[in-house]
Amino acid sequence: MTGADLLSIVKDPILMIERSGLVVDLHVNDEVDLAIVDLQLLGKKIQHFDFLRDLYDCVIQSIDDNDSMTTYFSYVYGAQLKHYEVLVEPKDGERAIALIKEVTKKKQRENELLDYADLIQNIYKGTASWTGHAYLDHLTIQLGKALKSDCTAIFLLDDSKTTLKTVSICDNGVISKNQIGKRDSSPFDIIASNGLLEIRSGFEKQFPDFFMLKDRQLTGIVAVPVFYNQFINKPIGMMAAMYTEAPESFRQVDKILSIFSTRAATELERMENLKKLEKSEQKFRALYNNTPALFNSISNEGVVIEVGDFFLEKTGYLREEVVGQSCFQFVTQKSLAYAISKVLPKFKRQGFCKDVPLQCKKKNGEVLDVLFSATIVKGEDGVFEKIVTNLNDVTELRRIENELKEREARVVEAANRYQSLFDNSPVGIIIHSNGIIKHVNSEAIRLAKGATIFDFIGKEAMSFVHPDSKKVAQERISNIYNTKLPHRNEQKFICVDGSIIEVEAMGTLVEYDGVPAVQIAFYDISERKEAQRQILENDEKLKGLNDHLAKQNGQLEEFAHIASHNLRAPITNMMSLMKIKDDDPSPENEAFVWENIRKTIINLDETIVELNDVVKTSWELDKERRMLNIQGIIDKILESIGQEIKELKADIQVNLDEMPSIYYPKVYLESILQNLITNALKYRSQDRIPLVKVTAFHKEGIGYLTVEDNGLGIDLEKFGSKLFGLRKTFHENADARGVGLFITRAQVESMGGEISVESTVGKGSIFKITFGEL
Amino acid sequence: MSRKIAVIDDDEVFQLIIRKQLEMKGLECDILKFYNGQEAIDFFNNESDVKNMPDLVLLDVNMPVKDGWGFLEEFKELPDDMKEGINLYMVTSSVIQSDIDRATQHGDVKEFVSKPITNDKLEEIFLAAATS
Repeated sequence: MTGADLLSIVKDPILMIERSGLVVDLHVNDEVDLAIVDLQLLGKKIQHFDFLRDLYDCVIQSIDDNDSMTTYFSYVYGAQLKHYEVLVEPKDGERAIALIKEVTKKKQRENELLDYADLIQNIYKGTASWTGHAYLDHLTIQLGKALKSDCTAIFLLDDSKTTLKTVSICDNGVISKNQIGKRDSSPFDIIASNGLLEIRSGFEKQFPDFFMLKDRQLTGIVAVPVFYNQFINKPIGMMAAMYTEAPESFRQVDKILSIFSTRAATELERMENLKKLEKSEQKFRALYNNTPALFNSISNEGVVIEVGDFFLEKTGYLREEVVGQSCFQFVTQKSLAYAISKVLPKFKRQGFCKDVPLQCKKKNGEVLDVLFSATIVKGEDGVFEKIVTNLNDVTELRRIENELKEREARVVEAANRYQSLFDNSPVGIIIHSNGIIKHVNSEAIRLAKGATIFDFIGKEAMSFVHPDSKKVAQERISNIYNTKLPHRNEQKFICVDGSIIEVEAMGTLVEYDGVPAVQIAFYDISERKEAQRQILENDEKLKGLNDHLAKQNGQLEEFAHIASHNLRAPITNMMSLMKIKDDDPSPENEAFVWENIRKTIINLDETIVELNDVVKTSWELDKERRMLNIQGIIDKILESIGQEIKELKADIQVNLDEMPSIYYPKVYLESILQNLITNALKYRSQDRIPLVKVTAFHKEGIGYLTVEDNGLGIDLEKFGSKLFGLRKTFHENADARGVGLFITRAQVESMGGEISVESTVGKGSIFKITFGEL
Repeated sequence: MSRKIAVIDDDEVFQLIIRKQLEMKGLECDILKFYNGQEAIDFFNNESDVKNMPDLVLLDVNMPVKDGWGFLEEFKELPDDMKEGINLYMVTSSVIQSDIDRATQHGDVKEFVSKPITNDKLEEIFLAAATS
């Protein structure tokens, strides 16, 4: 290929250079390679251009070595530094061809990358020996330099998220005082949402109230958000480079900003953590001494390094008695053994232990129950520093715990006892709430003839109460709820099989499943009630019998009284008469004595006959009842006194229509009727014809007999109480012996009946006999 | 003034014996005979003249119509001036303690005397009544 051919193909400038450095040929495009044209290299020696010295050396080398080589040169054309790459090819031992290619742009990029690397290097170098705010200040200074900005700053949101404050401001290489202002008027929110803000001019117009613009003439800004490493979603602030006059391009600036912001964030985060750490350390110290926990620190050998005030207060030791001592001497033997055998191995393995129950020895010898927790604290270098322990005083807790356990045990015991009592109770127990049966025991099931508890549970309690007892049962339940006191009553209970038993029930207010309920304890009193009824019945009978005996006894007493008097009276008379005769045995006296002895003996005989009558009729042994025709008996009596009736023209009216017969002892009925009828005639009025009415009737199962007369009548006010006594005669009647009514009463009463009288003096009397139940 | 003695007893023989005993002792007096309490109390109620009152009363217990206790009940109601000079003795064949107690506790009864009453006892109470 010829030179001309080559030139026609290659568009870049080509030079033909001799060994002497003389440019003998130049092929250049006048329109494109203005900078090369401007050099006017043809006919000149290249070594005369300083910036082409390297090219000259390379040409010599290439000719000598007969090998291609590459070199570079740069020169300022106009205001611009231009960079070229030159490929040198040996031509014929004396000349070389130089192919010039402009690499200005490539070189620029290379330089930028170098600058960038330098910058990073600088940041690292510049900040390596700084921390905290000094580090941040250094960052803003470096950033200002790197971006050639007039003001760089790092902003942070405060806790309220409404305020933005700077942590470092650098104005033209000088650190300024930090500022604070409102978030709203700042570009923070746009930066946060877009991730980048670039304003070349008009920044001050867009954010007129931004606090950074108050004392500064800034028109452009480049800013990025600042994130904590962990929290990339929520920016904690921003980093900005601001300009009085912004450069034409912000190229690469965002990257640089990002790098700076990451560095700032890292440091800010570290600072924040440090602050937290400090705070927690302060807190920890406060805890250590002020909280009621027993903090101690122990060395690797088990020697106490630090001790909290509270531990000293609780245990009674002085600080110097604890610090420097083996921690093991503050626990009981038992706890020590436990700690060594169980706790320590695990602690060594895990590096911590928690809430291990131990017993501490107090200075006064008392024991303190504690929960022991411990953790190994390592220094920054990861080497064991100390063991921090906490002893939680649980003495009181243990006491309460034990008390609770005991109480629980007691409750359980009581509950068991109650359950056992409930199940084995010899009385039936039913618990009902709101009227519904909730629980029954086995005795209740047995008494009520049920098969299982399901015969009762869920059913209405009242359904087991007999209608006769519903009222009393309801009253009892109300009383229990109202007074909260137990109530007792007797009631009839309907069993499962429908049979009825009588029970005595005791109701008590209890709590069942958390609601008020009534516990009924009951037992069967049917037998007792039956026995009671029988006793009452017998009692009634006995009372009747007793009354009867008392009456008979009264009659006997009366009889004895009369008998002693009536028999003794004639004898005393005879004794007196004998004495009279002894004192004066004159014939006249003798006659007097004999006459009166005769009278007395007759008298005595009469008395004995009377008494015999009384004995015979009052205490007649034949009391056997038999069915008697009353009319038949009356007829017999009337027949025996027929003569007298006839003489007196007495009217005897008998009415037995209602009760013609009676079940009664025959002798008694004869005697009673005889006495009453003859009395009616005996004490008749002289003023009128005697009328005697005999009537027998019954009313409500009871038999009655009345004998009514129109005779003299008796003054009952005077004699009523003595009418039926022995030897009481109320009429000055020669026949009155005072025996008849006494005998009649005795007979009626001995058969369980009664006799009474109604009478009006001058009008007549009605004697009424109540026979008692027929 | 002759003495008056009232004998209240349904036993006629006793009445005669008392008369005889008084005669034998030579104790002169008028004897008022009553055969039951009712007769006697009627006398006391109807007799307004104190001078006609007996100074000695012999009272039996068991009598028809009104016995000795019935008599005492009504006798108690008589005016004091009428009873003032009357010495009342219960003379009875009863030996029952309750009768004795009842008589001795009665304010108007001077003494309870068991039959038979001797001549000497009759003289003693007659004279006691005369001097009271």
